[in-house]
Amino acid sequence: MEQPYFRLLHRLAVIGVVVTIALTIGIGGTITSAEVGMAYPTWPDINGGSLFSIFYGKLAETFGIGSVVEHTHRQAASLTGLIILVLAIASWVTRGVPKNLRLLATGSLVIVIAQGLLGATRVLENTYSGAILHAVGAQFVVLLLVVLAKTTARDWHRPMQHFKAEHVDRIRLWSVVALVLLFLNLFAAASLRHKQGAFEGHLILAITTAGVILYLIRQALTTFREQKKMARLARSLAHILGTQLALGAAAWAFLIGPLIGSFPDEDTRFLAQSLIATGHLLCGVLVLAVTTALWMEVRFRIDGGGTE
Amino acid sequence: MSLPRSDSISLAVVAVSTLVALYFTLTGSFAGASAEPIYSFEQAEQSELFDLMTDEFGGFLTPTMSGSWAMENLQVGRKVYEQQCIHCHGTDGHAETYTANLLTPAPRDFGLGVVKFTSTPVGLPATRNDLLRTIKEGVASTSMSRFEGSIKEQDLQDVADYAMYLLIRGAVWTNATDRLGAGGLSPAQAFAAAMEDQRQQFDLALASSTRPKIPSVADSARGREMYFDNDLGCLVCHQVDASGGPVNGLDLWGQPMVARDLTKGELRGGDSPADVYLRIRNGVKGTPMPAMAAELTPEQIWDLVAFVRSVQEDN
Repeated sequence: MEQPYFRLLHRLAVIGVVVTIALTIGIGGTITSAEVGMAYPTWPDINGGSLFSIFYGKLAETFGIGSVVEHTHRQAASLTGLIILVLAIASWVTRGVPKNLRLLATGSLVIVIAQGLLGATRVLENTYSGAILHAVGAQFVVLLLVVLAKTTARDWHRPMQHFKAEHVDRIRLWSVVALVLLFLNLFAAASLRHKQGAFEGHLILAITTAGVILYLIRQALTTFREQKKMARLARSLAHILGTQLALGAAAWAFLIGPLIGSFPDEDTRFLAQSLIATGHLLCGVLVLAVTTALWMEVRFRIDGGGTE
Repeated sequence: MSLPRSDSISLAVVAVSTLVALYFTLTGSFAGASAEPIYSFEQAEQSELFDLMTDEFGGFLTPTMSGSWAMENLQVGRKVYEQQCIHCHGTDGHAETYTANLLTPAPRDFGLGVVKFTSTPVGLPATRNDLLRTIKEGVASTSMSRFEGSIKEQDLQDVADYAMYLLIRGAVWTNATDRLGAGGLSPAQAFAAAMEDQRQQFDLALASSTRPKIPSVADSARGREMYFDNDLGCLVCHQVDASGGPVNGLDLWGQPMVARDLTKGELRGGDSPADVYLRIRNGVKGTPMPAMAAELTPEQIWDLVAFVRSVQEDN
């Protein structure tokens, strides 16, 4: 029997992933790179302007460009929240949606609201610990949206694939380890970006995480070489991880390493450092998103009862 | 599930490296890219003056100051400054950072030795407690957020020490370079004279600092009459409806000025009656907002405070 496919829910989840990564986290990362997180120190309003006001020119004139970046981040985050709100409502009003999926969508709504309040607390209390938690919380929202996108996808209910239990168990284990390490590394990176944690912490975790993910990719490519979807996911992860390692090396060299003094002027230095740091952050989120997708496949769509 | 031996060993290695990494993250602090600024001076006299400044004040990363300042507090203050303040106010307190370019109003440049909101009369510098108050409470409607509650009390005290160090250093440098520019003095003489001025000015500031009490009763009607009295000049900038607006010219730091909108209740020098009293009595330094201490009695100033408060409440 063909399983139901909830096209609206899937599209909302995919749009949610794109909006959250490209806009909300992209602009949020820019805020930290430019260090203008407190350019707009009130919440939810600013001198009578609401969250939904389109008054960028006036805002820039009165409070500077930094406040426009912060305002745009809040608007993008509201869009993420709105998408998840619609997704949660749609999951309850659409007939035939499994209870687990409804609960997942509702849970995501709760998490995204908590994430918004965490952002508000970070501003109102002006705390770096709040900023670090807010940064890590954003990645958790991405993880939930990827899970929603996977479980609502048309091919989610395709027949299970059977592989040797020993191999499947190993990949399951290391994909979970990779996800845990990614979150810990995001915490270390956010601490570093907010000048709280030492660089060594992020470096050691980055090397460890990269090692685990490379091992995971190798195992996935070896075990699932005949399985196109898994092989494609593993190769994507390899490409993104390679880019991420290159960006990480560049971030070290140009932000705190030997190339810090290689910029012709202050404006170029600031722009280049912001782009590298924000790019490194975004690539890290992509690594998380693809690793989550790979874990979902191996956890729920691959069976360990086969003989290879 | 029983793990193969190789996976168990790998997991143990991952666990150990993760613990080490978390140890660094949770206990370490950011060893940032902050470096001692390097200046180039066109005149040899200025270089000599800068060397004298360095002898007296140390480097910006290794501050020293004679008097009752504890060096360890200044050094801790510098570390707090690097974490919380440097991206806006800059390594040397001159607020020439890219982030500062993205903010309006621009973060304060301590290099001139002047800050706007003080408890001291016009012409005298801020006290350390004035800086501490601004750090703790922030400046409304600007990017200067309140730090009370978000960092430890001792860190607040230490960073106030360091901000005072930047302010004093800025005042001495400005004074000494002005004297050098006027001619007739060697760098050593200009520096000695600037240091003496600084001591006198900061002693006077401490002696004349005022923290008024909140009035129990004040008649806003009398304050209203004074506000509309053309001789006093409030209307020139703050307007008949107290909504303020742009003021011609630039402030001491070269920034465009806006007379505060009194109807909104977001006064950058503080909203409390005591703060409003000080703004009227001592003015806002570096701007056309004059000090009225010579023109008005304390009772009259309180009447004006009551009027300003009533305007906020009516709106």
